[in-house]
Amino acid sequence: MPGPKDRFPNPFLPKAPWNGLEQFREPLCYELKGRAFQLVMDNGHAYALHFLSEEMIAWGEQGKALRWNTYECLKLDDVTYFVNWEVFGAPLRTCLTLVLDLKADLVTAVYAQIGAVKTCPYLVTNEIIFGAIKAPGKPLNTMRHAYTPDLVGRNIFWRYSSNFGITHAFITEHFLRVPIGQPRELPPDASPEEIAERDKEYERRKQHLFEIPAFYIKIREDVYFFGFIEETECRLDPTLCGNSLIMVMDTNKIHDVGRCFASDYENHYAPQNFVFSAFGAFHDTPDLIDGMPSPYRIF
Amino acid sequence: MSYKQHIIGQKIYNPVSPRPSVGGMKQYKVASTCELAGKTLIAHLDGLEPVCVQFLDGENLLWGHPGEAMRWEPYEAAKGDEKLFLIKFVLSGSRPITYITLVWDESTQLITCVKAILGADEKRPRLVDSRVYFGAQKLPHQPLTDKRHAYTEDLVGKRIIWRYNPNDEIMHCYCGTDYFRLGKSEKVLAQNATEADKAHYQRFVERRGIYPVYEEPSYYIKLRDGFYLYSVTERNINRFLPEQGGNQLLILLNALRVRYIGRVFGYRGDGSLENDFIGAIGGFCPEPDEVESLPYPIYPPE
Repeated sequence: MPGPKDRFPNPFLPKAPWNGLEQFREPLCYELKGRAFQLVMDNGHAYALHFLSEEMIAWGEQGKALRWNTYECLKLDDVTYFVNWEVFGAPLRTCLTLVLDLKADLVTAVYAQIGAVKTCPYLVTNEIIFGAIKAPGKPLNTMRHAYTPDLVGRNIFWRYSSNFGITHAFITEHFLRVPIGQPRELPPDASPEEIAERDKEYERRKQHLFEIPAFYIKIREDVYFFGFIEETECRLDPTLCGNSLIMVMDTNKIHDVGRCFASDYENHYAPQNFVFSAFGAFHDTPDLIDGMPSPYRIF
Repeated sequence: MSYKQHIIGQKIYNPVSPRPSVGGMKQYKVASTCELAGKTLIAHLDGLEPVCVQFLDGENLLWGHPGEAMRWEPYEAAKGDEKLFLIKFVLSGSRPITYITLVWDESTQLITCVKAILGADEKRPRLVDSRVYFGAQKLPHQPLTDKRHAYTEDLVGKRIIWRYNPNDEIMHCYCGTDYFRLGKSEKVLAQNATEADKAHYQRFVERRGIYPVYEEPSYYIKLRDGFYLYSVTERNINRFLPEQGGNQLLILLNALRVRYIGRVFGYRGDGSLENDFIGAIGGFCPEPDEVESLPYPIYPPE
């Protein structure tokens, strides 16, 4: 949200109606309207997916009734669509996210829930299911998207809005860290109080390694599906929210589209589920997190 | 990195992609849309005959006036908002080369058409000349709206720092209702520059003293609250350096999300024709650039 300290305040929008991650979101994609897909998943089930309109989707398991939900879609490139919806009426908050790869006729799905872990009621849990799209007149593709180490050791700084960006450090095949970075820049005439506050905040960052479980899946050359759950924080303090972000990215353009499935602990645990876009830059900036042993896990 | 320095030939660091990143003004351009496939637009543009545009698929359209045969053209479309399209196509075989860009706002049924002609003036073959037509979409059994997109002063006095890729930022200064400047930027040649980069850098060297500040004619059109179309034509630079400039940049600005899609029409530095979509993300900058305090016009009228 733009505020008085924003470096780039928007004169057309003193108060943004969206979350800070959403500003650079591209227009929603309505191209799939009217299209239907048969998804044959590796969990042993086949599903129908029918995009009824620009906002309504009907879906269901083979032989069962289809039910409809509202959905959002973003298009990464001419053959890669990111589709997201929250299941209406489920006993636990449930979110389905798909990467439809129309180049290879493959699909990877993420089935996410909030509330499945009783001790951490706001923690998101993910199940990743691979599968294929049955294309008319073609045999089912037996290939699958797959987990990859391609991104390990790389850092990307992502810009989500005029005033917010963050680096993702892909430290292993299963974890992601956020670099500690440098102390915040202050104007030359900063007061002693401002300097003290800045130093305190920097010390806090140094003391608290942000490290969370993540997954990295290769869709094809230059296209990756990755995501993470803010589980570490939630495990340490169950009143926090173990939110989940999932993205599909083009590593050549360094651009991603994704979704955040979450609860807002600063706002009475209000449900959040929104899509976003980000634009990034690879970098190798050394950071204190490099080689730092994990205080949370043995690896 | 700052918009105040532009390193020409600097490669985008990309340790993952097997191909070099596309870079330039297309790196952060988002995917084109095929959403218009199957749609038909009946456009009534002020002062012109009605035109029917039939989008056959995501890449091909037919267009024609009443009673005429429909003509086929390849096209490309991008979205500026959920129901706001930027559509571009060349009129095949046109001489001089004529380029049509439509802004179609399906939510208001308003249309703006920019007809751009490259080399209309034989003495200035690189120069693009453009004309704007406002109009509306005719819906079945409904009267044509008398509302129109319109020229605006909303952006005057504002500026945006645009980011096109991981390396390059540029400041657009919306100085007046009919002109535009770029924030001052020092050009530096990268150490590992290619011959093409060096030629590109040389063009900036040639501008020194002759064209010290980027100031070009522009127009600004309001599409709806928070959405604008603006044009910048490199007329001044082409006047002083006939082998440079002349291009028209047309930008569909989402001022709420501070992102744009746009198109460039004209000749590239190497003489090839450019008519591509571009895109950027940015931020409104509260601090003015030094070029904004210079008197207007820097370059006297032709």
